[in-house]
This record gives sequence, C-alpha cells and structure tokens, in this order.
Amino acid sequence: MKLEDFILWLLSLFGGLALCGARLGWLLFGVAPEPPQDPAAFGLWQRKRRWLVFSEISALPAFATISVTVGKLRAWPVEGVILLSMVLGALGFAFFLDALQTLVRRRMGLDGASSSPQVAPSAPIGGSVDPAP
Amino acid sequence: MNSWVALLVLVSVAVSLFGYWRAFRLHRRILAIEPAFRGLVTQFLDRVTRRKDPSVRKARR
Repeated sequence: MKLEDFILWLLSLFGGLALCGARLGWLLFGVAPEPPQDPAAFGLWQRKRRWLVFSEISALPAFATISVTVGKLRAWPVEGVILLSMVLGALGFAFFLDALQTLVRRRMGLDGASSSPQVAPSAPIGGSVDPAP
Repeated sequence: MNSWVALLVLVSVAVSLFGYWRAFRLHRRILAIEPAFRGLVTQFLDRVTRRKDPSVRKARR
C-alpha cells in the first residue's frame, strides 16, 4: 500500500465521518421522538443512543476501505472515491442492514403485504413510526 | 496487504453489528418497561414527520 492510498483512505474516512456525523445529529437531536418517562427506561434510552452512535461510527473504516478498493479496481478519480465514501456514510450502516432485512424477507416471502420500504425496515429499532410524507 | 484490508472491513462491520445488536437489545428492554415508547429512527426512510396536516405547508406558500 502506497502513501497516497493511505491519504486517500484518510480523506474518504473524514468525508464519510462528516456526513455520518450530520446524519446522526439530525436523527438523534433533530427528528428524535420524546424520551421515555420512566427513569430506568430513560437510562436505557441514553445507552441505546450511545450504542447506535458507536455502531454507525465504527462502520466508517469499512466504508472508506470499500470505496478506496472500488475506486482502485474501477480506476475512479480521487473525487469519485471520496464521494462514494460520503454517500455510504450518509446512508449509514442501519440503512444497509434494513435493506438486507427487507431483501431477505421478500425473498423468503414473509411480508408480501408490506411492500412499502418505510414501514418494514424500521421494525428493529424504529418501532412503529409514521410513514414518510 | 489484501488480508489486512479484509481484516479491517471485517472488524469494522463486526463492531458495527455488535453496536446495532446492543441498541436493539436495549430497545427491547425499554419496550418491556414502556410498551408505548416510540423508538429511535435509524435512517432517513423511517423518520417521523412532525407535520400534522400536509396541506398546512401548501396553504402557507
């Protein structure tokens, strides 16, 4: 691995971190619903938010590595590599997990009725939420 | 070099999966205490709209 590859990886990491941080701020402090009233549940709620942030941020090295590898294999320019990393960071790890869950469910024919992507993928953590407008 | 790249991706995804699993477990525990609790949105597809009536925004324009 050359030094310029490592610098490109670092730039991709920071690009992904920027958009991932923006998305986390928006999700956790912008559109987050009210915390639970019970003190024990409130502590669990805070821990859950913390673990969700750990989960999203620890996916960023994988995103940067994937974008640099794809960029090298497809001979993309530097900007394309960083943009791919930023897109992956903006979409986030939960997005891909939910997409995978939806694909597996559809393949197994478990939820043929709920074909809308707003409701089905949000089941694990999102719970029951209104569909997006 | 390739093995290091694969290891980095594997470790990163594994830690992310572990964090997501912990958040999921904590969400289940919160639901056991407060069944009416509405969970945290994880991505933009399941964001909660705070607009009560969509026609209000149209009327303002």
